Amino acid sequence: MAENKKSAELIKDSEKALKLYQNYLDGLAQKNPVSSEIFSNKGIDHASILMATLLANTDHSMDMYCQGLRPGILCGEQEGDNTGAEGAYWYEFKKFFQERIQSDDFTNDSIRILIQKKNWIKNAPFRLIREVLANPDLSKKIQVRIISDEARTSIEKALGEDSDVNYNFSIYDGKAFRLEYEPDNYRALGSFNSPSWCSLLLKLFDNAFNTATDIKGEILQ
Amino acid sequence: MIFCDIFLKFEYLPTFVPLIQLLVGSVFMANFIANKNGLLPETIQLGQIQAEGWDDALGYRLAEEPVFSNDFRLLQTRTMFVLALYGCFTLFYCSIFRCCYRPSPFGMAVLSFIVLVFQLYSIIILGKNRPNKTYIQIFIIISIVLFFLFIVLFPDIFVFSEKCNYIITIATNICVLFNMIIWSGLYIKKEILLKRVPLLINNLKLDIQIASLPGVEPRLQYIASILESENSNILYQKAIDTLKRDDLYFTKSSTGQTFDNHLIERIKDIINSSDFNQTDKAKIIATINEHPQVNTPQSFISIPQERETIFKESSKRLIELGFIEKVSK
Repeated sequence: MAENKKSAELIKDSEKALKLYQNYLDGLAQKNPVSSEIFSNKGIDHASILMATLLANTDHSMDMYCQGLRPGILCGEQEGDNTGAEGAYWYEFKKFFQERIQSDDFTNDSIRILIQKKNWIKNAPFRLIREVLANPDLSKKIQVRIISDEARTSIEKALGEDSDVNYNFSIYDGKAFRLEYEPDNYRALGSFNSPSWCSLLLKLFDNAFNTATDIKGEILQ
Repeated sequence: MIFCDIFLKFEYLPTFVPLIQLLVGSVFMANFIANKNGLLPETIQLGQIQAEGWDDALGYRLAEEPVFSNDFRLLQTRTMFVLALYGCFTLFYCSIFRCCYRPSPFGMAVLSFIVLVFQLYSIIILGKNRPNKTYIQIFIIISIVLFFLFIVLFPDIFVFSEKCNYIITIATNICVLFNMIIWSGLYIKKEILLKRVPLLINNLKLDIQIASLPGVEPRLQYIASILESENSNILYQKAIDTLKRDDLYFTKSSTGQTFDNHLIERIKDIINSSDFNQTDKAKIIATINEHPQVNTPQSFISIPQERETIFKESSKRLIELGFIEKVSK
């Protein structure tokens, strides 16, 4: 009984801490002008909250370099088991690809996704993208490509001396970003308004994206 | 003995001392309520605003309400405890002596009992948690009402025998002295904290911001913007100090890329027009001129490590002060 009470209190504390974290990020994003603070990010729940907040504040473009939309942080490894804070990103992701993408603010090629592996192409996140690609009105807005080995090595070298580190990053509206430098622990740096960081990351992204292979056909199969 | 005799010569002193105590207690509590509601002077709020933040990488959270550090809160709670205890003592002994020397009416006894229960309840509340403002407000109102009851409506309650007066005077003044010591300590500590904390937090924030920027040029750009804005003397001073340092920021390997000369000139102009003496100015400018010119994404990798080192150093003190708490995940 006492143990149940204690664990209930811990859950409550954790929920409170996540709420505080959400408030902190909302505060940065809603500042006028938007805060240029560079902050760190760690853990699946905080990563989910940050990515959801970044996505929610995106108005016209998103460039994402990731493993391959692995279901884990999105909809859970066992699809549908995302609950609590972990669900924040999935909720926003679905909203983005089902509703917000229809906005005229998102023009042709304004959403670019560059993946490292095609392992999760049949999973729920990609199913959402397939719906967009299958829609003639929306398909031009999004491009999905797989990175070449050379380009991947070049990104890893550019971001750090240790080429084994599997970096991921996303750039939103050319000013907000999240750079993950320890994917296993979701350790990352981010900012809601850092054009200097974003231009450096965009340079890397553009170079890699231009030499990457389009996988639209495979997604639609 | 001489000390007590002096006090006893002022026959109304025992009457006024509790009055002063109640008023001081009320002021203190009103101040506390004001603090709780954010009705603070601007200088204090500065610390509050700039202390908000997280560092997930290290598992630290800057406290959300940093105006009072944890140790300050603890002291405050202790003081409230002493005040409540003393309030209890003051009112209780009045009732007891009233009963002993002039049998009190039934209403007086009931009132004393209510006061006693309330005071004890306050002690429990204060001992367990940070005081709830509703209780404090009730406490202030009851204190004032009781004061009028005892002093205005029932003034004879404070007329005691000489022996009792003697004991009451000593006890009262010990409490006054005790409260004064606590109060002085509290305010000195508060002053120290309020002066130190914004400085520490600004240093920390600036260190993190600078260390987080990729390459020296964005760092200089950021420092130049601070120097130009001059919004905060603390930040200005810190930016100058940062420029003086060549151990952390300006010793990366060169890739041959050139700086934005305009930026360098801008910083030099700012430094030349600053209040620093000529030696310092020359030193800073020499540092800028000499360091390798780096602006490459290669410094990305060093950022988390730099940041970690900086944050660990700065956060030690802030944790001690209670402005940063460890976040367990």
